[in-house]
Amino acid sequence: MSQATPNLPDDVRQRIDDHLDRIERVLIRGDVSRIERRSIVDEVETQIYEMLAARAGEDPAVAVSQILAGLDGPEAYARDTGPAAVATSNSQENAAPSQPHSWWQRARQWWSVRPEMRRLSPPALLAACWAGTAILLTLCALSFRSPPVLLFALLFLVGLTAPVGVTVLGFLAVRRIRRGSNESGMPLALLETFFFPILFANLALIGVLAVGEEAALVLLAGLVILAANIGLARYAWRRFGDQFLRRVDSV
Amino acid sequence: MRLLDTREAYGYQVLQQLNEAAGLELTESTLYPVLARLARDGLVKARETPSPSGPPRRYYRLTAAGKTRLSELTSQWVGIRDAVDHLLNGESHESSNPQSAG
Repeated sequence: MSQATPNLPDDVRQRIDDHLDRIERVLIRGDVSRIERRSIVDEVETQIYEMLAARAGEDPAVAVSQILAGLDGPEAYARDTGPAAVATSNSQENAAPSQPHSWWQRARQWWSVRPEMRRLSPPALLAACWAGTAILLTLCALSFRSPPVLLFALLFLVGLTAPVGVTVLGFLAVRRIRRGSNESGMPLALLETFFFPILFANLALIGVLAVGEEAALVLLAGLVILAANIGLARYAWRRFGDQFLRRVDSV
Repeated sequence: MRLLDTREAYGYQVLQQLNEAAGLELTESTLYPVLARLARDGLVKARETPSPSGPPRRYYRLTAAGKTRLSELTSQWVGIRDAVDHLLNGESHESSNPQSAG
């Protein structure tokens, strides 16, 4: 964020960063471009440190509290970005100090104060949970000699639908992340998108191999599988990897 | 834009000048988005220099396109000001002579 900042206690610096982060979130919700966001937030940061420098000798914690109290609140940056952004901003920023009542409000508050988690794409997260549940159910079913009917039903519902569901959700996550919806998790989304298709393609090729009897043919088919997998991985990385790198850079 | 026409200044400096010298009551949430948009539109150019206070200062100055735009806006403003002055003077003249209006 800043290249050279004076030595401040961690908690004081954290308060400044929190203020800047909240402004940035309001600007993000207002669809302000990244360059403009950066410019605005940097200007506010510079102003805070200029004001702090003018109050050298005072207790930095007190000085920062007073400076931040005198600045415009983050919601003020939504003024130019339309009523929807203002409404969203006000509801979320004003909700922070109040105590949440329902589990849903608690979840929303936790989500809003954990930006690094909020950025993880929801479809990618859902797909990961789906795949994990399917794997766990499969392991449970394998551990029984005669699995209960309920476990079979669950495995049927969750496990058999996982290949399609996880692939579709992974694809949706890739699209959302590429569209710059302030979500990350591109590697996870790519894994979910390609895992089952590649797995089934490999199983199909292995099935073909199992029919073959000549060693040279088996070796050739094995090389084809290997090359196909490497090719797919390289394609995925070239096609979408730059998004991932940009996200890492922006974080 | 007028402040950045003659010499460059950084955001907080512009804010202080507007509030102290010009007597306006602008806040940072109004000014900084405007500066960002001016930079986006190529009307001002920014350069960063290290600051003794902490983060680098971003100094803005008007570009050639910005000077042209400032000239246009100034003409528009003068026109609006003259029109408003004319209206106000006319109304004050009429209110001071109610019989002439009838």
